[in-house]
Amino acid sequence: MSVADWVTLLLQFVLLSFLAIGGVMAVAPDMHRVLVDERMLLTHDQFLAAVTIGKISPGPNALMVAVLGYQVAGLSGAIAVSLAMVVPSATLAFYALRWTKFNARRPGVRAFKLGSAPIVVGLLLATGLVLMKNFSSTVETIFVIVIAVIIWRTRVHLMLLMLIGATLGAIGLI
Amino acid sequence: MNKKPQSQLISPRTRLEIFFVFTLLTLQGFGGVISVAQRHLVDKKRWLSNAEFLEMFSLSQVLPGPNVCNLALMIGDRYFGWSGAVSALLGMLLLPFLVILIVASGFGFLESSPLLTGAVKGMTLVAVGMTLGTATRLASGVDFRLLGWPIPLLLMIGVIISVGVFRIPIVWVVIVCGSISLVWAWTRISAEGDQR
Repeated sequence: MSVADWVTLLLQFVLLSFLAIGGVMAVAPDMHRVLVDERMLLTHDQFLAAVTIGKISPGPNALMVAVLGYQVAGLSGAIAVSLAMVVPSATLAFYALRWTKFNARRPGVRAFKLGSAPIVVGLLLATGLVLMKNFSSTVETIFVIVIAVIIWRTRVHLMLLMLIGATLGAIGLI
Repeated sequence: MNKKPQSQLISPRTRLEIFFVFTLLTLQGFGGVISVAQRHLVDKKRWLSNAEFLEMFSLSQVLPGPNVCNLALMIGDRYFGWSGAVSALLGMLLLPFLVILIVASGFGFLESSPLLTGAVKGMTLVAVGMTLGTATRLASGVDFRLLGWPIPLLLMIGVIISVGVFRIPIVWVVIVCGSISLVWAWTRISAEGDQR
C-alpha cells in the first residue's frame, strides 16, 4: 500500500469514529464494506476472526479495529488504525463532556441526564436479552439467569465467575 | 435513597492510581467492560455513586466512539483535568491493545482447540449474565423520586420489548422513547422548580 492509500484509509476510519455512536460495533458493517468489499485488503473470514478476537480478549470491544490494522499491515497498521479510531472521537467526547459539565445546571442538560437513565438501563437489559436468544439450550439460559442474579445480589469477584464459566465450558457442561 | 451522600465517596489520589485502576478493570472486562467498571468504580473504589455512574454512562453512550473509553475520559477529567483523562484512557487501552495482538497471532491455534472454544463459550455466557445483572444494579441510579415510578418503568419495558423482542433498530427506539423520557424529565424538573 502506498502512503496515499494509507492516508485515505485512515481518514475513512477517522470518519467512522465520528459516526460510531453507541459504540464501535455500530459501524462494523461500514468497516467491512471499506476493508473487504471496496479495497479487498482483508477476506470476509479475516474480518469475522477480528470480531471474534475482539469479543474474547479483555478490554473494550472496540479494540477489534487493532486486529483489523494488524491483519492489514502488522504492528504499525494496528497502531495507526487504533489511533485513527480512538483519538478524534475521544477529543470530541472530551470537549462535549466538558460542555455538559459546565452547563450542568441548565434544565436541558439536567433533563437529558435524568431522562436518559431509564433508557440506558432498558437498552442494557435488551442487549442481554438479544444475546440470550442466540442460545440453543435451556441449560445455557438458566446458567445466564443464575449469573445475572449473582451479579445483581452479591459482590462475588467477577473473575471467579469468568473462571467458573470457562471451566464449565471447557469440560462441555454448558 | 438514590444518591449516596458525598461524604462516602472517595477521590483518586494520583493520575497513576487512575491509570492502574482502569488497567485493572479493563483487563477483567471480557465481553464488555461496563460490568467490571461499575463494580470497581462504584462498589469497590467508591469514586462514584450508582446514579453518577449511570449519568456518565448515558452521556458517554450518545457521544461517538467506544462508550467505556468516553466514560474513562470523563472520570479522569473530573479529578485531574485533561491529564487525568489521558491517564484513564491509556489505562483502558494500553494493555488490552498488547493482549489483543497476542491473541490475534495465536488465533489459529485457539480456533482448533475444542477445550479453548468451550472455555470461550462459557465465558461468553457469563458475560451476558453480567450485562443483565449490572443493568439491574444500575436501575437504582434512576431518579424515581423525581421522575415517579410509572413513566420510567413503562419506558424501560418499552425499550426492552421493542429492542429485545421485536428487534427494532436502536436508533428509532432511542429517538422515540428517549424524547418521551426527556420531555417527561423536563416537565418534572420545571414542576420541581415551581414548588421552590
